[in-house]
Amino acid sequence: MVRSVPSRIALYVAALIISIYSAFPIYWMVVSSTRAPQSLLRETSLVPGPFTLEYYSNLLELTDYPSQLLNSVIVAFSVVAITMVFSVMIAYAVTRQRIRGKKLIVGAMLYAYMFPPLLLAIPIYTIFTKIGLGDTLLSLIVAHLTLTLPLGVWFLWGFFKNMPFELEEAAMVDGCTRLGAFLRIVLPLSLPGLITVAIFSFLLSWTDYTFALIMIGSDANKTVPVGLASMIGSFDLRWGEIMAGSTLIALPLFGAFALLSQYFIQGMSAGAVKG
Amino acid sequence: MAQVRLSQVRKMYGATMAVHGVDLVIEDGELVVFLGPSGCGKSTTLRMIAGLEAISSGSVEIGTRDVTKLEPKDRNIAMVFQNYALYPHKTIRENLAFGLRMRKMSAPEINQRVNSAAEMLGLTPLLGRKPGQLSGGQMQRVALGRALVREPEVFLLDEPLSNLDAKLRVKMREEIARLQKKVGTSMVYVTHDQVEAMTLADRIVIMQSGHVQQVGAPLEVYDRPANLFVAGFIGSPEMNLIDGRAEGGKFRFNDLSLSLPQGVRADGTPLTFGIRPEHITIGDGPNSQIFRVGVVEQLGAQTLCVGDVGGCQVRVMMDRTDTVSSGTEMTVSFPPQRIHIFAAETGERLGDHTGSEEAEPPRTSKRALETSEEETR
Repeated sequence: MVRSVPSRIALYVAALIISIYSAFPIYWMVVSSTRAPQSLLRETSLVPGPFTLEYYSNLLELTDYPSQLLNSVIVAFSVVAITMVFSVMIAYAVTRQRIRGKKLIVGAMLYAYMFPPLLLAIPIYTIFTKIGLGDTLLSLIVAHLTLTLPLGVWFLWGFFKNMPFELEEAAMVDGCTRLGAFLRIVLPLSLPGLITVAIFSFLLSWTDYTFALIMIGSDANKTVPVGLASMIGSFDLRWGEIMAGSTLIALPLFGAFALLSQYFIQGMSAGAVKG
Repeated sequence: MAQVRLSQVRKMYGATMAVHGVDLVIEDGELVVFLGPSGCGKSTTLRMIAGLEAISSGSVEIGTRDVTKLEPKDRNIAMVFQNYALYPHKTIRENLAFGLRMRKMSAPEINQRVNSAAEMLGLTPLLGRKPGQLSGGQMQRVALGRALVREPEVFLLDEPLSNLDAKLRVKMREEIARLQKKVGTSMVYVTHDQVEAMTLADRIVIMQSGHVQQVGAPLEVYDRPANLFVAGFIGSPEMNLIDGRAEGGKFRFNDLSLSLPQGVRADGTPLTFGIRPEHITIGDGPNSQIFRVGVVEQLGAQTLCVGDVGGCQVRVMMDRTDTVSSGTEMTVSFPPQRIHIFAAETGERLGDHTGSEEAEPPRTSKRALETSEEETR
């Protein structure tokens, strides 16, 4: 499509405004987390500095942040791993096998999305305390799975559906078992989808506040978002540490997106648009 | 290389039967084409030979092995799919080598086989590319190559040319015929295109709604269609078929009265009379009639006229004639040896006249096989 010069300029301006709008809070968070305490509360300069790492060292040495970070890591990685394994298996079965009640399975997966997380979290919490899982990381992992699994299954379902079955048949004729054909042909071809699902479930679990707030009571089991929130107002408001903590939360997400954005975009468009 | 033997092979989907007891022996080195309209069970039968579709009852043998219950990978077959089914994430070389690597062949041997197959198909310059960078014809050749390198006992091809344009199809058809002669491996080829079937096949298996209708060499099927379905399906333009009855040794319909070929003894029974458009002769002769031209189709070398004989619509194929037009009347005749007579009720062919001008009736193939008539039918 050929665009005229004014319309192209308008397009770039719009893109620029949207980028600034969404990137500024991130910029401000990083800048604030490295600004010395005296300037932090008085200055509003857009230029970073005066520079300090004081908040980071405070956060990591004086608070529960490291153990909370570890909790978050355990929860998020378990959620990602379990989501990947199960959503791949369920999505593949639903696409390729003749299963009774297939529509019901897929439909039921969506029901979790019909309710706000808070509405689900409270009954789930009650069940977990009854079976003795209250206030554990496991309970949080299971709670997160109620959101990530349906997402993963739906996404990969679309992916597998678009993949011609003949590819697997060709592999089977070529000497693979069904599982071999799946591992050697289907999985490598679904890589963009798998990465997208992994990023999405990591994002959901890593930044989740609602479920963590309800499921986890003790300080020892808190994840980072809840831990960080509890710093506000407990004795004083330490903006620097909060910004540093937020930056640390966001860091792995930046990393993941930067490395995998290419796959991610591929995955999004393949799963969603190609239909 | 091996013989393939199907015995009473059936396929059920729930309560519906998709393939009704096929009995067939494909000889070593033979090229057999399954021909039929879509949904006739030809692909299903092929997939049952491949092991991609479970066999509901009956058995499949390749060589001396009963492979009925074996996985596709253990059957030592190679298959070419309609949409090529090349692995998009692998290069052409890897695509060709995949089946060999799965069989734990040594690297030098794999290389040697891939290179010679690529050579044979003219794929050598493409070996480093991915399937997405190839044209349809090239992808088709890679798919053939992938089957070829495996050196299987049987090649199975499922409508391999239907995704290609008409010109390329003819070229690839010739290439397949050439390859098959060269490697001499048995081949089962599924198509709905009768030209492909006629040109490629050693024998054609014509199927309709899960039943084998006729098995025979291409000309045998053309000359002596076993029933109405085959008569209508083979040949282009389609055979003229007229429903009437036998009366006093003649075939009658409205004002039309034609003598029956020798050996057809039927009286008072409803018959279907068939003659191919290219077998109706212009001018006086046996069974001559007045033909009134309705529509003229110029095909280049030939002229196809659609018109009326004694109240029946008839297509007549003649050598190129520029003078006919709508309303032209001419005398045409129906040579008795070219006439096909079918029982209207069963659709079966009546009489054993040849249907061709060859004096000798065609030998019935020794490997001919019968359609097993469905008991439940």
